[in-house]
Amino acid sequence: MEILRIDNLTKHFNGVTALDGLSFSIEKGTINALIGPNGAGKTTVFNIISGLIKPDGGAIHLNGIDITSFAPHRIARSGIGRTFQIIRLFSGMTVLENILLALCNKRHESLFAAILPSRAIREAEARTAEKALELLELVNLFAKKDARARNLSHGQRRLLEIARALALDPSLLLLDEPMAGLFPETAAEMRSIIRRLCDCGKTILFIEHDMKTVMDISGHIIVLNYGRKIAEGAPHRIRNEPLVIEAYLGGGSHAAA
Amino acid sequence: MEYFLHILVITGIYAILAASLNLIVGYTGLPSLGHAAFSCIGAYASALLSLRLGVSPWLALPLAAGVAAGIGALVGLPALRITGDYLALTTFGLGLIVYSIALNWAELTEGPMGLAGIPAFAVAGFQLSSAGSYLVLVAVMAALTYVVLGRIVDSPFGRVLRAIREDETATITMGKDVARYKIMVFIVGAFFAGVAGSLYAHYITYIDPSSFTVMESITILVITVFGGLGNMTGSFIGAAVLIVFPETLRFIGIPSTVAAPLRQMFYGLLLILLMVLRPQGIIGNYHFK
Ligand SMILES: Nc1ncnc2c1ncn2[C@@H]1O[C@H](COP(=O)(O)OP(=O)(O)O)[C@@H](O)[C@H]1O
Ligand SMILES: [Mg+2]
Repeated sequence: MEILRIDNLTKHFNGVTALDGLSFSIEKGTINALIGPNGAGKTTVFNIISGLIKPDGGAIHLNGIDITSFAPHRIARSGIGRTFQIIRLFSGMTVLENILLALCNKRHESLFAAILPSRAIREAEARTAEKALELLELVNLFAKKDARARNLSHGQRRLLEIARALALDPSLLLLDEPMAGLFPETAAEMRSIIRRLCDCGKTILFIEHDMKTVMDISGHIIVLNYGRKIAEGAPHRIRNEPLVIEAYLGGGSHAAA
Repeated sequence: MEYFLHILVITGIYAILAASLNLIVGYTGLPSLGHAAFSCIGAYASALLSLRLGVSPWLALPLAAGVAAGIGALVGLPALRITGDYLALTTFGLGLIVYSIALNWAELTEGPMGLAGIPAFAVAGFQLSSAGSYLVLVAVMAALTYVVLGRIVDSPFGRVLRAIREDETATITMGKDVARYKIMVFIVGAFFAGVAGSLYAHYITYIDPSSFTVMESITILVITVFGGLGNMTGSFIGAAVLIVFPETLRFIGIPSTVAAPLRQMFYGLLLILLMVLRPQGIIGNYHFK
């Protein structure tokens, strides 16, 4: 079953064509990689899916619903979680607070509940805290729960950002270069987390430059170059696709590993 | 003694102003240079309600604060689209607009003449017109402000505000309707500024536009920054130090014609020093990036 469908997406940034009629779709419960040289438009795809920027043309459907014009916070609540190429945590908050923020819903975060907190709200808060600790355990950050996010190592920050996105309980998870800058053992941990999430029924779309990771864990690969899709398919097909080889090796790009 | 109590009343009023500004600037990270506009609206609305319509100050105060909150919502609206320096300029503009309305809409506000004879608060026929009796009222209101704002910033609601301050984009991708929170913050901040304005009006019993200039907004900001951005207690300490200290100038024999401009220079200088030496204020935990 199709969870995400992108139709004919176009985006220009003052004269630069970042996306040029891009279409693809993602099946539920699969791991998908979005690859391509630097500047190909991968992050722009994520920004448009998550609603942070609006496309000049085209449409995005999530579970058959047109979300193209949704406000970004509404898209997040509709079940799309994401991380950023350059990690964006609430650095001054603790690790636990980062997760709690993502877990709490509108009712708990109302002004009324702040001024006159009810018992029901407080109990819900306690349950939320339990849930937060579970998520931290999943990414091995339980011991760090009271540390400020800014004091974590780079790898821990990446993991926290993923845990925070998971706190939204998204059906679709967008990860922008999750392995970038990780030590081999953290990268292995990241790969195993991504696989586990897929086993739990999550759908993953991730951007990655490390070809080994891409070939290893994804079932489906979409290749972009200059804002266009130049190839799409299973890893063994992409590996031997002449256009892909040319984009990576012929274009003078050093992006491919 | 009466004079000392008077200073404490003024300190309490500034503490409310600084704390309510802290919610906007310190906790949510939204620059605001027009806070005096909200206290101006609160002061005038409260004064006009009691002078023209005979509304009791007890009722005029919450109503006036409500009016200020409504204007706060209007200011919150541009905050949805405008950020950073531009928002600072927008709030600055609001300060100018409200000031010139107070100055020029003479039919309503008596213009530069100001409004005189504003009724005092009364309890069972006893007028709270002395500094001592008024101090009790101001202390209660300041304590209430402290409790309510304290609860707000310590709650999940307040956590969203801090998230907005840290990274607005990330907050949005966590499913938070950031725009709504920004409006709410301006509403609450303006409400308490309105309370402070009303308290001021019924205490001094005379208001004119000169009490609500842009300089006044800067004074409030200096107190908030000095006390510490993102720290409510800091705002109260900041008010105590910065309102009481300049008053000591009088006691060392400096005439008030010199003391007033000296005070403004002092605040300006202090703001510069803080930005350079200690941008987070005396006990704050956040500073402008
Ligand atoms: N917010 C933006 N403003 C202007 N240009 C942008 C913006 N975002 C991306 N671009 C441009 O769009 C193109 C695609 O960028 P991006 O999507 O970040 O590529 P990738 O993630 O594949 O490396 C680049 O030329 C980039 O400079
Ligand atoms: Mg990118």
